[in-house]
Amino acid sequence: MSKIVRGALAAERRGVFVGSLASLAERYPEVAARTGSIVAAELAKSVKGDKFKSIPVFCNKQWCECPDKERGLAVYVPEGVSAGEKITIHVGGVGTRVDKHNCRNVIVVEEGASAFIEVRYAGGLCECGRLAEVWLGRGASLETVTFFEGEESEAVIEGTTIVRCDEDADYRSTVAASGVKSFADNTKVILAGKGARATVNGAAVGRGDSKIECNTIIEHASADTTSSQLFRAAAGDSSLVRFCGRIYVAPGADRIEAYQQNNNVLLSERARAVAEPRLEIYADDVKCSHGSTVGQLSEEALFYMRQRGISEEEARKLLVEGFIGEVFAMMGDAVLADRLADRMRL
Amino acid sequence: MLEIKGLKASVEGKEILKGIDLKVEAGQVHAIMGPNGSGKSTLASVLAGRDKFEVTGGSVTFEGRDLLAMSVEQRACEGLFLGFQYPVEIPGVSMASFMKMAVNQKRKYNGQEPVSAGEFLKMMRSKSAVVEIDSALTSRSVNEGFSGGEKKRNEIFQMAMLEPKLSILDETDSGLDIDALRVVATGVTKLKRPDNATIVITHYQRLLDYIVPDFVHVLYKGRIIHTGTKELALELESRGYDWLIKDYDNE
Repeated sequence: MSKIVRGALAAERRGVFVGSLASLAERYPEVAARTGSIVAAELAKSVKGDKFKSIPVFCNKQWCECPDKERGLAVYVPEGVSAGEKITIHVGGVGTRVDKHNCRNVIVVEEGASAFIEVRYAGGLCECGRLAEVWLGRGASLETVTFFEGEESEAVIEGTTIVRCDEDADYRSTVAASGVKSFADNTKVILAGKGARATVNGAAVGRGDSKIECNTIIEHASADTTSSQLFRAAAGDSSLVRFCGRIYVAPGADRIEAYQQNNNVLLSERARAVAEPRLEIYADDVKCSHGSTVGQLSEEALFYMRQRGISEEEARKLLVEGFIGEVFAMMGDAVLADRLADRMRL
Repeated sequence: MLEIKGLKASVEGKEILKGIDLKVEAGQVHAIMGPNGSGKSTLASVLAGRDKFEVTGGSVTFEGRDLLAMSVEQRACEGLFLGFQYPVEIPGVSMASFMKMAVNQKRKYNGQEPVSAGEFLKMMRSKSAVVEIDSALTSRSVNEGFSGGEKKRNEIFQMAMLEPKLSILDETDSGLDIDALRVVATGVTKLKRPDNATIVITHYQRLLDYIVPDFVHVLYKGRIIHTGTKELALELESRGYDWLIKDYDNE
């Protein structure tokens, strides 16, 4: 088994199912039958050719079809159940060296249920692809945090998460990208029911010649839905950070609110940042905004800190930490937020 | 403690300081006054080491060492503190972690061990009392969302934490109402010791009701044109600068 789930025991006592996709099909055939369709729909789109060719089509990678269902992992939170303790999904195992690893996750949080899931890419990974399908029922709530747990490595990681939110469901995600040669995180959230909310955040620190990209699509399919995104990246050395965020507001999806913020800081002359905000609005009554910045650390702030005796190097580190840290400050788990901030330190 | 001789500095080729001479001894408070644009803030920035300004002449010694040869942070660690006219907001960096870093970098410079978490908390508490700063501010980001008065108090709070030998307060009184002014000035007075010194840069005499200077200097067009005692400030308040500067306006 390539994934070990910590926190699973405590969760299971509360009625949460954590196991392989195959055993989900045995225990909850109805749930297993229902899942897979979002990914299938995305795949069909990419075959037919998406209307918006320029946006990244997430599901065109071979691993998306991942035939080996045994390697997939499912988390199922039944109606009204609060999973309580954090559930950790280790992608690529613990303390092992895996050359190639492709996996699928299915996460279903039923009506009125809630969970907190941490996704860790193992430090020993070389090449990894993950596809997750997430279903949030009416009034369900899910927070996820995704990060790479190893030290600086040559790993190439790409993860895609497709989320469907029913009425009043609340999805919150944070991705912390650093430490690998190439990291791509793709998130698509479909706000399918009235009152559904999504908060999709990310932080990236690029070092060496690493390449980090975050792609998001927030689809406001229903009226009265809300989304907010905050992506911050600091690019050092000759790294590249890229954010491509698309907000799509369907016809008739009135009274929605959608906010997107992308801020980048370049720490060296060779570093690069690419920001691609995309708004496509087909409804009339919407509140939508986006902001995108690429800049350098504030000279004023550096001087202020140095005047207090802090060396230039430490001042830069502290500034980057503060800049990135504002993303983590929005997380529900303060301990984990601190740890991630630590990991992202220059 | 500080000796400035013939200091000249310019920005973008324009000379702002045209030969400043000033000597500050331990235990003294000096006030530098003067109309807008006379070079008061430039003098503070040059002493702190801001690289925007180019020193074109003269010398500055601080405790017998060449101040101008030191980096910004070295000057700070040697005990020079600048209270900013416009304190900078640093989003995402809490006052506590900022101050802890500053205190520890200074200790490291002086060959001391870093301060322990408990000791640091105690320090924060006792020093925040000096300037009557709300201790909740210390958990917020540096200066972010602080009112004008809070920012200035925060400068004095940092001064209390770092215990500098020489503090240069650049228009710390600007934008303060009378209560905030009193608190800031009382803070400065409480921090006064026989072994430290303060240079107060100000526009108005009113701050000097609270911080009593030993010397008052009038800076005009990049030079100190007149030096007196605290009575000079009162005279400037009633008579303005005209009687002093008229001789220099023809230059």
